Amino acid sequence: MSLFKQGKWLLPSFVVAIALGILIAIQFQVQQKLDNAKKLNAKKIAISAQIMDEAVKETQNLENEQKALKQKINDLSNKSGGISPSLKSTIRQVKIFTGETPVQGPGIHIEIDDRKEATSPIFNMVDNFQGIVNDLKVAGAEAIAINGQRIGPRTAIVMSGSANILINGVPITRVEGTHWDIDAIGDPDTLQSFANLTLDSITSSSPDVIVTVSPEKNVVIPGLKAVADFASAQPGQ
Amino acid sequence: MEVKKSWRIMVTMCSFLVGILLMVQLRGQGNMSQVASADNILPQLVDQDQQNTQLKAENNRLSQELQQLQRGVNAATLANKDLSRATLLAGLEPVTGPGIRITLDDSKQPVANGDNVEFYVIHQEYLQQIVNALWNMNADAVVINGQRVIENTEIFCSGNNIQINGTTQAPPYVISAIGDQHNLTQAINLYVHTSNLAWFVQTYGIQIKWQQVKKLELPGATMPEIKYATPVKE
Repeated sequence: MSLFKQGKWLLPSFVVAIALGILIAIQFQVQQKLDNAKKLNAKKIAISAQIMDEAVKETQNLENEQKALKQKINDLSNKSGGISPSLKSTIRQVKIFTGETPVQGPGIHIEIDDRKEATSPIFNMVDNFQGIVNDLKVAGAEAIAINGQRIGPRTAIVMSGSANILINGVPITRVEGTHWDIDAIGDPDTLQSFANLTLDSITSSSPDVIVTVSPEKNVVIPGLKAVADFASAQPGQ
Repeated sequence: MEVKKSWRIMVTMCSFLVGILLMVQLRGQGNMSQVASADNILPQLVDQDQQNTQLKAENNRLSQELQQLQRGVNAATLANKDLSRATLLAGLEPVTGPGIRITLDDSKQPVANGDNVEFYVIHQEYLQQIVNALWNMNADAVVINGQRVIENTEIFCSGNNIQINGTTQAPPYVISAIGDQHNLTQAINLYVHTSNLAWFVQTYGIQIKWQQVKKLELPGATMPEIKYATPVKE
């Protein structure tokens, strides 16, 4: 073959062949690793789905159990004279301040859509949430929730690692296709004007973030499912 | 002519190989996006698990209540117990216990030429961030300058002062928190070393110090008036 006789082509083709050889070798190695990753991933998805299924089933069981317990308690307490409606209502009222009583009333709904804002790191949102919650409290908010998590008296809004925001220890993840939701009960006008303090600073520093605030006739805010007892504090005088 | 022919063969072979490489590469890319999607389920899982933990705790409490009723304890007695527990946990009662005391104060340094005076004073954000860090480490109760931090407590900058529970507070700001002393100390240590505050402490002389206190006595808050929210019917 003339190719091999032609000295000036020999070296370049040799080099190209070696380069391609190396590339192919690397590519196949990568492919192999990816195939393994794919298998592992499929396994991971299957296991996660299974755990999720079990967790959801457990939630249902626990909720049923709770319903039954409440029913029994109600029946028995009615037998033993019951609880006066005023005491019942006082408990419900105080439990607004532990965050346990689900509440409704006029207020505002805030949506923050930062999906187009690539440069705004998620940890800015922790400060923003703390700021907005604070603005709403100044405005006399009586109950606040972020993505359905009620802000209780001891609720922490913090970063977990570099990708998650924890509220009440629950990761508030802005999965693709959703925005952040904040609900508050109180006077809608006052709430809106105070919320704008932080919201305006968000939109002026990140113009790609879309913020919508709407007054609502009836905002429903869920209660905390349980509130932990104090571990160190004792009643004082 | 022969050279051109060999050229063609080589170009053909190269194109062929590059094609295969490209195809394999693209397949690989597809896999990568799948790998990422598996992680999305994790936060939901933690959420669900957290819900279950809370439900279990609440069910335990209800079981105990039921047992007491079955033993003949009066329903009103139990309800009153429930009420005092809620009043305590809402921060409406004074509490006592071990914890830490953190003191924050404006800088005593003269404002350097051209510097912003804002760098030298305590802002509401510092207090907010510290309080959050303390809750995150399971503090039971937090008080700033005698004001108990409860569900609707604001920490709001107004001029040189900070408004807390509708009262005007001036520096120094003393934050007292009851809880596990080790954890609370860790919380403040971490905060001071990882937040923006570290920079203002070093550069502008913002003052922060803290100490563990064996027995703190913290006041409760007055129950705020509710005007807009009504309990959702069970």
